[in-house]
Amino acid sequence: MKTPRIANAIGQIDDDLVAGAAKCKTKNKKHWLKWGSLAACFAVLVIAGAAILPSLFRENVTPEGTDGRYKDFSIRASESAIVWPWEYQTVYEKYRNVKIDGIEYHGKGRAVSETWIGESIGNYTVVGYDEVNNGKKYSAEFEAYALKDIAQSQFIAVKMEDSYYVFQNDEYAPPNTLGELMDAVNLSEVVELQRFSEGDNTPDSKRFALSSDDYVWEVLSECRNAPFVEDQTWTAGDRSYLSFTITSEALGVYKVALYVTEDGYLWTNAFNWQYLFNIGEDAASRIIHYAKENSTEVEYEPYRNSVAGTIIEITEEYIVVDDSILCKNPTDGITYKVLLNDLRISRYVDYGIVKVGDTVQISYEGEIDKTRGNTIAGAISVFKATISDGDVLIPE
Amino acid sequence: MDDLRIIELYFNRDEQAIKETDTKYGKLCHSIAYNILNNHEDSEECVNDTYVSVWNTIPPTRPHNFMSFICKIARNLSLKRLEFMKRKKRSAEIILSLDELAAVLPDERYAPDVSDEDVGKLISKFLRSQEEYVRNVFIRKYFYFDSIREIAKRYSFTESKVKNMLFYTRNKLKDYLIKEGVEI
Repeated sequence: MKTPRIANAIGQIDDDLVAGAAKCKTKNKKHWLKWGSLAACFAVLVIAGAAILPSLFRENVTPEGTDGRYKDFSIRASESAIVWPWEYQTVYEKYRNVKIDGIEYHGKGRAVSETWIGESIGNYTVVGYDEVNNGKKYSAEFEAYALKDIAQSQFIAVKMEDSYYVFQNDEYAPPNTLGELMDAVNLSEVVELQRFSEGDNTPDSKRFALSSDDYVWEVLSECRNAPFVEDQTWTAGDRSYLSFTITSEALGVYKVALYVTEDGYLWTNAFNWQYLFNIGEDAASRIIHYAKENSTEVEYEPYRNSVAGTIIEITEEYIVVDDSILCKNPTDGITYKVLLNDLRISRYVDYGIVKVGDTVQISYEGEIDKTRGNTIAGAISVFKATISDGDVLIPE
Repeated sequence: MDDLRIIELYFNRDEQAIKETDTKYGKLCHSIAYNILNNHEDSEECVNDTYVSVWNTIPPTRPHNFMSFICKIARNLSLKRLEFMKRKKRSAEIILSLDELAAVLPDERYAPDVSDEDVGKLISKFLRSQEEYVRNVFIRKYFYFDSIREIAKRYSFTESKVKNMLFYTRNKLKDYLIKEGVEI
């Protein structure tokens, strides 16, 4: 076999690209992913045959999704690969970068409630770039705040349109020890270590929850000297480990991971970069043992809740979605009223991405209000979807 | 030890240079070699060959980015060894990656006037136009030859998302190369 020419050519790519991919930066949790020049003026959808969607759907389409109304289907939805024109972006999508006292902070795109907000640190110019218009620079002045008990050098909040949004120091400057990290971000207070799975948190794995994470933090507080491990090749791989799911308002992270491995490592992707500490086998095994002994099995929670169906009506205020298409018996179908009360959802209609007759998948936060005709007030995205019982990839 | 000091050791012809390189980048080189060769013994030899090659290249070369420099050598030597080992010992994982790539630009019969280095430059330019995580996933797969599973874990994606991302990036890269005049 001869090595394809392109493989050799890839071996010649620029050094900084090679180094950049070695740095283990975890996925930047932007809601809106940019796909370069394709975006020019038009929203671009990229269809992704996604194994996650069937699982996301089947297991938690709606509370109704489990009552046997649905036939065995698989659904493929286009992923959120849209570059929104500037005027269709929310304020926290627009303004992402601010420099304070020489530190560059980057917006995490997530709001934090006022209870976390500390003292004002002044008004600063926050910068944003319009990707659709060749990266045209915009700037606006907003008030910045410290977050309570969190080092200002690591995280701050910026108040935009009456909400506070988390910004994080964008530089790669990992702590030397676990204790340093715990102090800098008040880790045990801002992160709850409750939901976990053994090994990867896939839809098929069993999930557990601890009623209290006090003991886990007690053990971790004994590991304050655990050194940061700079190992670009580390993966949980074949190690035996617990995978905690963590969401933290103050850190601006939603459902990221923290592993405790049997061979003594603590790994997390909660800080944009891989953070890895060697806490030792003893501490790790105490945590793992405790978690296994003191947890109860819980239901799978999808990354986000969704409903699917056909759009049968679009008004100024809402979209009506009918899920008959998913039902064994179409007469069992119900309708959902999806409010267009937020730019995050209304822009899909305003920009013509979805229309009446489309089969769609709608992600939402919060609950469905069944007392008001299955109203969804927290919808955040709607994408065209294809429903089938086969396993066919839908072309772009 | 920082890279500049290691490079100085090479310039001073101090064999400690190799020890320091091994301490700092041994695992990384081994993982690249192993991803390609799927065999610890061969990988180990490739890593040793990498050190010899670095020793012979510095001086006169003074690499700007020592990590990339050494990764490129390890990768190149491992691919050569894989070719040499031919079919009997080949690793399924890497062969699949290479087959996928072959569809983008198969061999020297295509665009014979363009050097691999120039194609590399075009690929760099293309990758820079991609979203950072798309770029890194591509490089993890086709430079470091990580498995889909490892990449999915590293970036917290599902495996199918990684596969799809690679599928689209390969197709876009092919279109880009054609647009840039590389005859495929």
